[in-house]
Amino acid sequence: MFQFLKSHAPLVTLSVDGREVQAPAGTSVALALLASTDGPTRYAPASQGARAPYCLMGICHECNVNIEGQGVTRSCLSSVCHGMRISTETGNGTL
Amino acid sequence: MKVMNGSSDVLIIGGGIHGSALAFHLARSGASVRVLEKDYPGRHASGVNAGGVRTLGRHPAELPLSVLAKRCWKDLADVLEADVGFSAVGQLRIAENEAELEQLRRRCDMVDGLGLDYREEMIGADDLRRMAPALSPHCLGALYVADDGHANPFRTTTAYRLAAERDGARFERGAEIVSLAADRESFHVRSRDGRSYAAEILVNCAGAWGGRIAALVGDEIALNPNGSMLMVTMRMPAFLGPVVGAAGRSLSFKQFANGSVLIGGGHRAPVDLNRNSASIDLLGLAQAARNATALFPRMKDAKALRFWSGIEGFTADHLPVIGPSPVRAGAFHAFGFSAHGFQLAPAVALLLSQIILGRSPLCDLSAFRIERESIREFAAKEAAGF
Amino acid sequence: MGPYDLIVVGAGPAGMAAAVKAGACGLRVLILDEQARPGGQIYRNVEILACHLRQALGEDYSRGEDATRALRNSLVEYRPNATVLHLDQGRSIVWSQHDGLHRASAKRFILATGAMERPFPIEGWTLPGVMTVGAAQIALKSGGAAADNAVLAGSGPLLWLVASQYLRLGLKLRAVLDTTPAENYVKALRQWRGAVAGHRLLLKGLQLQREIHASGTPVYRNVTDLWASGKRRLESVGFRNYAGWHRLDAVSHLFLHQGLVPNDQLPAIAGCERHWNSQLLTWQVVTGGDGRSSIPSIFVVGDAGWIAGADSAALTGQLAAVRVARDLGHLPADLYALEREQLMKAVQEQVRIRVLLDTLFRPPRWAVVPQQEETVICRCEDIQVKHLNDYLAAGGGDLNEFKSLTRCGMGPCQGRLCAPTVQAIMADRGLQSWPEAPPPRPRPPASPVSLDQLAAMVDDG
Repeated sequence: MFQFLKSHAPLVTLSVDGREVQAPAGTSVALALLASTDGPTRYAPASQGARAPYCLMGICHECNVNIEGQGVTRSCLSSVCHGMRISTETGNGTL
Repeated sequence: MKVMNGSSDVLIIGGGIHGSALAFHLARSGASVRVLEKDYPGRHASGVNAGGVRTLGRHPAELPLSVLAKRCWKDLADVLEADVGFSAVGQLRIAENEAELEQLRRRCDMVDGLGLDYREEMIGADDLRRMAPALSPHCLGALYVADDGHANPFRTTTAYRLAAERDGARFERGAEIVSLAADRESFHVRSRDGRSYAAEILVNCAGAWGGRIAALVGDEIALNPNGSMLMVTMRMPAFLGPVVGAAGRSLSFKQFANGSVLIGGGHRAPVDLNRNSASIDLLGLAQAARNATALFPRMKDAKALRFWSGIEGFTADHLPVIGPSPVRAGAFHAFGFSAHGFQLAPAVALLLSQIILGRSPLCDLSAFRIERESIREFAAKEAAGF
Repeated sequence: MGPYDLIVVGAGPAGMAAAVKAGACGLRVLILDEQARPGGQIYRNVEILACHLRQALGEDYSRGEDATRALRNSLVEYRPNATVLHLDQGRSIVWSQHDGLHRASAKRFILATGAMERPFPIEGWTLPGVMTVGAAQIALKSGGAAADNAVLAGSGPLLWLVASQYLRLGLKLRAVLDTTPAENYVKALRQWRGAVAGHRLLLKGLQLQREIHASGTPVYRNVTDLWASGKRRLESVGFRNYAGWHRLDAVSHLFLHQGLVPNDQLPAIAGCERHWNSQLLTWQVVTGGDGRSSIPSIFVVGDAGWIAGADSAALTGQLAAVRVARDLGHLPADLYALEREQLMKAVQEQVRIRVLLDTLFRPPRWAVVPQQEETVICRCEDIQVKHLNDYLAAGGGDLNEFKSLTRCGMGPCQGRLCAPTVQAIMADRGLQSWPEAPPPRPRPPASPVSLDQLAAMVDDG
């Protein structure tokens, strides 16, 4: 898992698949995911292979999640917001 | 010194679905066939269209051809020994208000009166809700054909080509023709890479470039190349079975087994025949997006992944050109399908091969003859509209 | 919205320098960038990065602040969080922001869309836990986040830079695997001019390597045949070098890097011609010396045109800006000539260094042409080497045709991560395709766009 190094940034609370997750303000949703889970964050539609963010810069689209109100989004390009609700829709092959 | 690279019974110009399907039928009957494709087979309209396989809504002049094609599609995969991705999921043509409903009823009656073994069924709001629950509740009814559907255009074109090749047909790539000459016995063609070909029979299946080839043969018609824009979305959870069109909107809407949604509807954008390029007009796609979200509200959150357009050839009466050249014996045409030729291909190829082989075609093709008045030129208004 | 003189896409070193220079010449400039703050990748978040991280990231990084400050202080109109979707006919541009789609037209465009990491298609590269070295650095810069027990593998300056950044932050690395082949060093010796010109850079690189050795981090050289394995996520990493086969278990993250390639999807969508560069193993936008592409109103600068680092990017950005100013009558001929001469001289210096680096870090065959049949080429659609082998064996030779047949390149990344590998495999087979190695044909939108944003677009004349 990724760890956040100590910082003065205030923590933001969001929910991922109903689970509460905290991340420093200004972090991307992708990093918040990587710091809260060790395993896959989605499954590849064609093979159902386990996937997680790869490039963190908007190229690979492996970091796709469902952000409530925005639909399927690249989580590496979204900053964490207080109260954000994320769904990783695992196993549905629609991310 | 003229070097002959190849002579065959038949030379087909254009390796799209019409050229490939014709090559298949001719090769199967024992003719030696060569197809000259200027890029690679399926590169243009045949490879990138919406893949609609429908009889629903066609011009009555096309319906006999289309109904014959429908029968061909049913066992096409078996005949070609390949998966062409054909799914007979049905087609709907939606009415959103009373006037459109009435329009559909009249169409239904008209089709019934044609005496073909074919009908387009009127269905009411309740049945419509059952068939397509994701449709906006304002939709009042539809015309329905149960055994229409869609297929994969590139796979279908490739399947025809591979089957033709198995029977001895030869496909040349990168073989744009630069000159065409005819003597009493045969046609002589030279391609851009310097090769020469000869054949007794020449068939023009050159799609949007068909007007140019027709002119080389000596048949002048007006052919307007134009784009037909499409967009495909990222995958979505399954919500739709049949293919959907609308009486009052330019829309073709389908969801594939993998969840992605393909939205078309014939929105035009300029093309360049010399550069193989088709531009994208975002305002036209915005209209397509509005049409899609009006009928399927959940599409608001759908993410469009790619916009593209094929290069199509439009005749002035939007009906294809199929049949022999009146000025040169041995030359034939099958082009100008005006963005709705995909479904017709199996029947066109079958009929044209019958004509070429000297047999009586199963269907009368006189409505599509190249010398008809209605395609001599575009009315000024229509020409400007493109 | 009235037409701008110039619209710049990308607020990294090249874009910022271009916009500021053009603004200084009196042009009306708009600069669009996808991120929330300027700086691109190399200067990501430089405006707000915490002090303790800043120190670890090094002084080159902090220099980015000069560039972002210059942008903020200029009269250039700067729009962050703007994702460009299409550049049509070299005349008008469409982008997406939170509030919907926007459109603007301009007389000239400078595309400074930067670079992306060259894909490194090894066995197991799609497993959770396998990422790019660039991603590791982005995690540090944008979130102060780091992985525990990570392995860094690959070749090139970024590898050593990030390794040293980790160590300076007190983070332990499991191992560094250097895949630079021995013969590259020999070839690089011939580039002595580049070595002279770039001696500072080379010394810095050596210093970084010394740092990493001194830390006790295991470093393996001449690494080949790298693989990753695991069930639902990365577990083990294996490789070979002159000492034999090695295997590392219980690895939490593998960060891969084998150089950068231009992120030129937008120029390609806009219609700019590209050619395959077989020395650099990448497509490149065809440009003139000042960055003008095959479309006269579009310039491509910085890493998007040619990977050459931040300093070179700023120079090429300025070169294009003065050319645009000259085009639009904002710069008299003699002043233009003077500016151009100075900039070109500086660029030449950079070119010499680059040629050395390109030689030294040219990826070896095994790393760009995957040999194992099951290795994934297209991550989005799970197309493997064996699918391409079958297509090539049947006589195919066009990457676009391969795409139509298999869906390779039709997923969300639209070919960015698979096309270079498909092309490298085809080039490796010495395949002649017609007319000559046609590049992929990406189409708009450059990023996915929601239908409701698209639907709201109206004709504002």
